[in-house]
Amino acid sequence: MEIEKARIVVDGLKEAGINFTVGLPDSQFHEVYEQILQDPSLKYVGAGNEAEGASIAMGAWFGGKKPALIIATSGLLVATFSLARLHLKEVPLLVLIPYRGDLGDPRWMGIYKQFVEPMLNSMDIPYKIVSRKDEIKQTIADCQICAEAWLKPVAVLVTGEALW
Amino acid sequence: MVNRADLISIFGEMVNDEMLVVTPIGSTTPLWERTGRGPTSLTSVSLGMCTPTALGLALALPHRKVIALDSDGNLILNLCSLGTVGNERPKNLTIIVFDNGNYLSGGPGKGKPGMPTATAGNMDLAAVGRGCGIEKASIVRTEAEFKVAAEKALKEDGPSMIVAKIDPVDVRQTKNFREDRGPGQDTRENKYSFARHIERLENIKILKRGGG
Repeated sequence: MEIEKARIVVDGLKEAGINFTVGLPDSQFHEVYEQILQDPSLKYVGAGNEAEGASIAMGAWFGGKKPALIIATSGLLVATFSLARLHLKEVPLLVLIPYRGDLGDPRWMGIYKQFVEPMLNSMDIPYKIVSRKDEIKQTIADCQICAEAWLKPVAVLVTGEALW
Repeated sequence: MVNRADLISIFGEMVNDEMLVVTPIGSTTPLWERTGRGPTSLTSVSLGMCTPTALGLALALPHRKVIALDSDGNLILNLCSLGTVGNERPKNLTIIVFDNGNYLSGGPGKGKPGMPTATAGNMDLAAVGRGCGIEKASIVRTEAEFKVAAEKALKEDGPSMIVAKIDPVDVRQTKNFREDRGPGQDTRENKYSFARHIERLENIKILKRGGG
């Protein structure tokens, strides 16, 4: 991932008001995590799994923070139970995911493309797919506004087209 | 052997409204609600989510004491959260684990223990906590030991962890699983009362008017 694109993602989070981040890294977002770690205004907590991460984010929201959960596509599948509970409690949460399984990715990653969107739909988690670099910031901002207004997790899926 | 209800009653006398308590689903929440502190606590947090939720709260409000009233089955589901606590080392976080050695999901209606958790075998959660970097992690087996450990944890800097070995069964009588569980809040009502409580304590705005 180009440093410049990682910077756009991080700036997008900050401009959306995010001030607490929880994650478990994805290789495609490595530079994003590196930049977040260097930025104390985005307090980063590294979780042991994505379900734990969603719970930490929920606690931070109750403490007045604006959290974002930054996880791999596969990690979304791990986080589902906690996200369902956030949904039940009506806790807003931005979920940022580098979306794998599209054209150009290895064949085995196709399962993510196959399951992720139907799963988000069935969990009633709204999402936007970003496939252009110049859409990243605005999409993050829009989804954060929606998460707060709709009181639920909202996901941003950033495809390889936008990142590479 | 001590029981969960007695320890929760004792602990309810130790905390005040300035402290924030998180409780999991299972029998801890209704017992905690009996102390009258349900609406100012975050209750019925689901499986595996109690300690990590308390961690997020503790990191967001580092000046305020946060206590997770967790249990063995809940904690084991997201055991990695102890590693995260051990790395973040929030001074204001205390984890109390009511360790009954079994999953209540099998037992509450039958007056007998459910299927065993790993702590009924070889797992020592306090040792796991220490291994994760939570140096102040101990096991208590009596009310007196619990009082001493809890008072210390509330007074001193953490993170701290108390594993209370309790009776495997909370209620000996057979109960109808679907019976009315008492006057507690449902999960959304509790969300609002807890968030409003923090807004008052911290003079901050958490809740916004949603879309309808």
